[in-house]
Amino acid sequence: MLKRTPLFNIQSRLGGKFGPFGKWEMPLWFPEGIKKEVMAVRQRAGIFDVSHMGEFLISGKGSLDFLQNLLTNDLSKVELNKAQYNLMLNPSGGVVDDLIVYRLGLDEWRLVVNASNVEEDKDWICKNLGSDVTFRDESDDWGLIAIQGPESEGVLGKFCSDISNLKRFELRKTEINEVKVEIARTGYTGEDGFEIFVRPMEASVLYEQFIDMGVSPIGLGARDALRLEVCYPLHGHEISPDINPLEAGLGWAVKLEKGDFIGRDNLLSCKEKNLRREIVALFPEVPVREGAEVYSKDSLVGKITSGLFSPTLEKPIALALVENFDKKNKDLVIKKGKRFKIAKLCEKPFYRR
Amino acid sequence: MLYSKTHEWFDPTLKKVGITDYAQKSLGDLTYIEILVEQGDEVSIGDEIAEIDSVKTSEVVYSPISGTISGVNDLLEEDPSIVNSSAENDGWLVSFSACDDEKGLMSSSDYEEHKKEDH
Repeated sequence: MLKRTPLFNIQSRLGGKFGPFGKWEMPLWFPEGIKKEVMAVRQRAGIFDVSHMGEFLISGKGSLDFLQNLLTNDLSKVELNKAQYNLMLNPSGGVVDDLIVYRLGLDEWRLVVNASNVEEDKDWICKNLGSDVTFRDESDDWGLIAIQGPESEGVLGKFCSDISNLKRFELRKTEINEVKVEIARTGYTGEDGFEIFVRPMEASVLYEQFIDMGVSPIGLGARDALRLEVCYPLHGHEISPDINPLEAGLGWAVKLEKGDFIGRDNLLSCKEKNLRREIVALFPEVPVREGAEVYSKDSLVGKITSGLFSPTLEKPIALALVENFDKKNKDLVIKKGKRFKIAKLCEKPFYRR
Repeated sequence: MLYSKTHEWFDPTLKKVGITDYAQKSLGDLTYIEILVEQGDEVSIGDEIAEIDSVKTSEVVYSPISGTISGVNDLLEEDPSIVNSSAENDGWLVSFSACDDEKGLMSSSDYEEHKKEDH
């Protein structure tokens, strides 16, 4: 039996077409369809149910040192009520998960992790836990709603007058119509937007208020298209236990100079040897999917990690993990079924607001 | 109208083939259709005749009958959404001049039952 979020019923009433996503039954799209949902987020505002994501609370005197060793970014730079993007690596430098870390107090942190990795993450964290650090899985204690798009500040501003001064990656405890919430200016779409932590009991009342204001409900299909257009990685695709963050172009979130952390040694030696596979962006002539082989001048150089038809650009886009190939050759070939299709190498991201 | 287990339809009068409205609905917004056969091709039941892409997935369409292709619906390359709006009519994929096998296809009522099992 698949798990359902607190927003299952209301999203069902809105005509959501549901499908399995890991252990969850989630809306893939609504009656408007993926294309219109993507455009709603790019041009106006859309609302997403991301309650399936995991929330962990890390606290205790040793929590900063613990997280510095567990994660790649420099947590000492994170001020109170601020957030930071991080990667959690295995000893070989591969990505166990990517996550957002919020600093809730001097020694109190919230980690928001991918829904499909909650169990693996929990095991990995608990295996490395020190004696002066405590871990709590709060995943069932939170509903999470994202409002994304250029009009999201205006929409949210109708409920909280001072939301316009909330900075990017800042978190604030406040109320929306007497419902206690924690609002962060974060997201996964490349647009301005907010993520609202709310108690599960109150999630659907909150969600409905935004729907009543004309905000479009958005499913996972559009979420994937939105993130791919701006080249945000998705765990299991561009990053995985077998792909390290340097290969994925996430070096900006890896602070090798901060001191030791899990996976650092292997990243350094990988850097020295210059053994770099990398994620590249492509415009294929037809839509191509994950796993399709990529060729450069007749030799196999890698595989597609994500691919779809971009509603914003109105053409197929794809990311591929490739190695040992001459980037001067911009014309690649992708095997789709039994046939070969042309793809042009291009710059990341495909779309920037 | 006759139906295959893999959600293609065959119209014995017009000798046209397409995907069912049910298939269209489960794929969502279609973004690209490539017809893999051309006029004059001989195809057998189960041969790949088209590839259909929605934003999220790619699906292969298999021929529900054997025969000779007499035409393909060129409009779909420009506007695949025709299949979303009219899967079992304007959204036809290929037509046949001669076809000899309707065995194994289902009636409309059997297909309704099949959809329930498939769901």
